[in-house]
Amino acid sequence: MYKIRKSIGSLKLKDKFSTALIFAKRDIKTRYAGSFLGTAWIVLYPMAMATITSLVFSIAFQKTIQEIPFFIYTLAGFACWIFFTQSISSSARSLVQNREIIINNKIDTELIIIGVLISRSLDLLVTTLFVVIASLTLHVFIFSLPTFILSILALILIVLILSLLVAAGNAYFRDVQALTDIFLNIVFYATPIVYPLVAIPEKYRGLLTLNPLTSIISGFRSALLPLPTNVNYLMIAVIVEILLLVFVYRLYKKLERKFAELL
Amino acid sequence: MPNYCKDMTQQKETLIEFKNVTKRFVIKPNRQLRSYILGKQKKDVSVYGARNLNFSVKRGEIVGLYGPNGSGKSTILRLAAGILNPDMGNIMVGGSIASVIELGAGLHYELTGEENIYLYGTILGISQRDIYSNKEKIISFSGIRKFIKIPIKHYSTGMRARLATAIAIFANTDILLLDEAISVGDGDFREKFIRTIKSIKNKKAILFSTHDIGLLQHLSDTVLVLDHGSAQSTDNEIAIWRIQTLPFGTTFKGKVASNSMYPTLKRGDVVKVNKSKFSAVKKGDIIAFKLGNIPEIVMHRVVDFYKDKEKSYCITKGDSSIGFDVWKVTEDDYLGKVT
Repeated sequence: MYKIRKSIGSLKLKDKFSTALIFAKRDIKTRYAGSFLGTAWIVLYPMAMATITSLVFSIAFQKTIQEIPFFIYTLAGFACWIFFTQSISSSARSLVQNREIIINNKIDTELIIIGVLISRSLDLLVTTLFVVIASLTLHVFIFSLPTFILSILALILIVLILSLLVAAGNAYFRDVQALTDIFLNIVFYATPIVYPLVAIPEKYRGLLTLNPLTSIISGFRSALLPLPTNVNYLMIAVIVEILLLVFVYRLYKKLERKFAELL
Repeated sequence: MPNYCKDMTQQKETLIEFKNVTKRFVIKPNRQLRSYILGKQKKDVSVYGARNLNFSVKRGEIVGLYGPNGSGKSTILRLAAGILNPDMGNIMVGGSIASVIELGAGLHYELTGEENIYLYGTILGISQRDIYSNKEKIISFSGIRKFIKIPIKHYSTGMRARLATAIAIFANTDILLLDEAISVGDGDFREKFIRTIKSIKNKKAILFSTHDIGLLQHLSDTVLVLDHGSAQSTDNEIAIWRIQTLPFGTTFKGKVASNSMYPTLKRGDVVKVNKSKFSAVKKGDIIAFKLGNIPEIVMHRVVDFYKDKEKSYCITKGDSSIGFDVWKVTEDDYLGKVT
């Protein structure tokens, strides 16, 4: 048994946050370190990704959505999706990549994962601004603050929950990072990002709405674009996610004790 | 010294305590989902990292860990840091900890020296404000002022090691854990390291491991000699004990293990040592002796004698003479004259 007298050794919440922030800074700085365009990539990369895919898919589903240009619809979906997939996929690898730090220092490993999420949320911010600018130029912009906050909160929470799970899982079995990528690929097609929900046959539509990401992304879209939404659904999602997070965090802390030996 | 009384009370405070600590590593060669589903194909191997270990470190005390590779030095440091959990026994830690277990682990190569001070300081659990106030000391101790704005991938191994060590030393923590202390530093750094550790000694409990016997002798109050996870007597210890019980006049053979007496004695040479009285030792003789409670035999040349109230000492030195190669030998440590 390892005992620490008094409460020394454990960081205050403020210090924890600044630690996560330092990890985020490191992540951002090193992501494009040594590249010619440097920090410009922080803006360019998500914009390019969103633009290319949105353009490609908007040709395929041109006529299904009447209210707004399909390009904007996909772009908004992509803003969320890029954050979702990249956060989870980098989180899965984050503990293994920071192996040296974890096996040599007593740190709260979840701060590394939170750092990943903070650095990836910069991408989310950039793409969101891009959606706003694009919809302003195409005159389809509306803004609903409560829906926006709720959908972003729901998105971040689900990403955090899944990130903690896959990161801990990957410390135990390296297979998890490959499985995560496969899982993310399935989720991509099971979420109305590059196609509208109405394009799916009615009998499968119910199945798709079971996917929490469906309502989170449609919530995000309706916060910025003139599309219908169900705010209650988002609210329930946030509450369920908070409860889940408490459970997952406890599980993570239990699993964390073995990390130094497993990594 | 105005803080004298305070220091005296603080010195009694135990900051690290190991009670019957055992840690066994089970190495699983088949750590894949497949082997869990299909059953195990290879046998697990188990190794003791610590076995029924008892010791404590008080504030103001320096404990050195000594032992061959794989004897459990790093495991003990990791256990003390709370990175690993013991299988059995209790570890009590009474203060904040800074640890350098693997030199430079936690430094990021793409970031500059300065950014790394913040990053590494944060990993060690130091608040941003403390890092800021100690930055100056860290920079001047590590001697990399000129390169502080350069990514550390351009640093030499020694520079990175100095930076990491400096950050840990100047962290305002109660406990300092150093693994393979200054294994890559040069002579100057070694001297600076010893001086600095001695100057911060009173504020901290320090636990360190090293292969450098000189460093153990110069710094540590207690040396814990390890052998496969337990603080038991090693073959060397038994050998020394047997030599000490030999009667005067007998001769034993020893193999030279280092080049510190080069060119008189080379590594691998077998020499005869004559067990004789300490009073018969003259200036210029080569003598064999042990280093306090460290189970190593050193053969050095006597360069001087001196006496204090109780005992007489001789001062010895290696012929090749590098850095801190000077020893003080008493009758208790003396083993014999090399012939």
